[in-house]
Amino acid sequence: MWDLLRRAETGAIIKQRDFDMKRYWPRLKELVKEYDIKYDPEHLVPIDDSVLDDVYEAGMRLLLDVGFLCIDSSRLMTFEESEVKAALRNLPGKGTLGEGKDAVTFEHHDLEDKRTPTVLSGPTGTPLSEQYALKIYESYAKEPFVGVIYMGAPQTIEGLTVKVGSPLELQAEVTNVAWARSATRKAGRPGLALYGVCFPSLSVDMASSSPEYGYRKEDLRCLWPLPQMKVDYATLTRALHFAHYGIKSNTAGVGYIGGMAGGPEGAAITTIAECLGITLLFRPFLIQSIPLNNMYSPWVGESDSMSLWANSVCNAAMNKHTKMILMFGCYTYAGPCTEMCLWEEAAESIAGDAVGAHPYGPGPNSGLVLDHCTGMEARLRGEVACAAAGIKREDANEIVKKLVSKYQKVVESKKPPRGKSFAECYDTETVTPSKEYSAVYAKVQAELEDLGLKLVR
Amino acid sequence: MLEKGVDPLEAISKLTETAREIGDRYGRYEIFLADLIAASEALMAGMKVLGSEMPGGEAPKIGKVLIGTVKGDIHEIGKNVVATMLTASGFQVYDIGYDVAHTAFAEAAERNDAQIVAASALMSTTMPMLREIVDYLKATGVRESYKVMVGGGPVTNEYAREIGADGYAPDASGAAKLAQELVTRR
Repeated sequence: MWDLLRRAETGAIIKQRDFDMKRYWPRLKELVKEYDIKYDPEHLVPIDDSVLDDVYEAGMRLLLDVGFLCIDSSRLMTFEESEVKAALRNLPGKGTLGEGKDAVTFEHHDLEDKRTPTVLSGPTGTPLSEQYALKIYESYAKEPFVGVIYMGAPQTIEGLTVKVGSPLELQAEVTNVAWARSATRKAGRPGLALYGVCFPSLSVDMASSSPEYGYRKEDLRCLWPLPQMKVDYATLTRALHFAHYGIKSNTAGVGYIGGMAGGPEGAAITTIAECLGITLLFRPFLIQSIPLNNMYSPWVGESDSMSLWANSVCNAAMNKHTKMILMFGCYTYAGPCTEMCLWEEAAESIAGDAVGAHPYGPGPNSGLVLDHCTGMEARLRGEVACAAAGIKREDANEIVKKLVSKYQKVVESKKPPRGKSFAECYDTETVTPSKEYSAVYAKVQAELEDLGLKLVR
Repeated sequence: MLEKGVDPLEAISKLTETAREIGDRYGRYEIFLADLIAASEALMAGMKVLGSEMPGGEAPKIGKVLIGTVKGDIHEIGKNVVATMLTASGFQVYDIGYDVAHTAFAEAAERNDAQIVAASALMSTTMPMLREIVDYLKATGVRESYKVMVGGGPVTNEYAREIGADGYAPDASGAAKLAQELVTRR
């Protein structure tokens, strides 16, 4: 890893604007045209393998022709095809997170893999109140499908607002981990792995690596590059720190639809290029392809038609060509206790199963609204992921299109249903879903069964 | 065009119309961010040439906006889109990047004689930095010198009101319209 990270100090100097506008964007547009990549709303789950081959090759070309930019040193980091392929060959393809009886295995899955995937779920970065954070974690720890808990972000500590860069940030993170560990212990699952939130300060990320009070080596940490095709010193330092500490990381290629990556085609190619680049640079354990859609700002998501297509294509392409262990899904537009949130999740889970990825998240309401996350969303992720294991891509495509048709117009309106906070849809004493949420959930379960899914309840 | 006797003010007006059309096309996602940036740079280059023919030596600007993403936050796509839309709309934009301290916002606003301070926060843990900017401007006695507009994923209209900002926009088109209203209000 160090040999590669040194390129941030030795590569050619280039201005960021020139990297974006003269190097990255023109090449991306050429590749979209050269490989004739087209967004296909009729195939949100791709069934044509030639599309997968084309997108994968275009992504590899983008990485090799453009490289990454280290914005702190203004230097290009370029890569040879042979070293990218070597890094892919050397991926372990399997590993565990967590301890003892609560350890779970993540393994590379093939397209239409019959094995049940492993669920990584939790608040998914959602802001949490001090009042309910512990109970929220308990609601996830109680769900048997949850294999790893994705942490939330405390908003206050003893009434003081947590600000990035302040001592409150570290205090919040240490307290956050303590809450989650307490929840897992109460659920009788003390060895359940925790996945730390993305984007804390570097100092907090490093200071919270501790087997005593922070993230243990059996946990998982977040490590994302910067959009598009960029890293900075903080990201590279994070990667080195995780390697030295000996903890596994999850990283992500994130082609922003509506951002510099352009439309869904450019986002798909960029996402693959980033996933390949970060596999080489960071040697991650898990990898996400997240072509996030910026078009429905202020909400971001990946259950809408364009993002779902790009996500399915990226995951399918990378699973066909590599041994990556891929994760699918991150946010929904709608909030908890709404049918729409559950439809979005189901669409992501079914598509994910068909393309060989493990379910991840969700963060309802784009992970932006205080306490808007509950264990019920994780429950549906798990039930659907189990039921759809081995599903054929053609069948998955038909179900996913029907689900997306239920909510796509709402997404486009930029007014997704807000749903309810944890305290509004759960009994906070018993940490069980309210009658209302249970009824909403049962309705969606019945609809999914009508669509042909045999849910494991 | 100038050699052919076209009135520079009329030409500037046409460019401004074009800028609006480009902004609208971006709002409909018929073009994307990189296209918007390229178009905006071309427009600015055209404005510079035409402006040199104007009294004062430059094209009239609607106003000056100082824009950045707050301290601790690395997200800048949204901010970049807003900056580009504002430029295309005829504002002079000073983009101070991301991970910017509240003091740096204030200093840059003064240095560039901005009318509007625009700040973005994309995380719930960096959102409090928006309040810091407003509080700092108040505490240093310069709050009335600027209109403050805020935005970003977790930010809401209610939060903007709570912290004493002058406006909030959920997206880039909204931000450009808001900036035009704010500069008229001064």
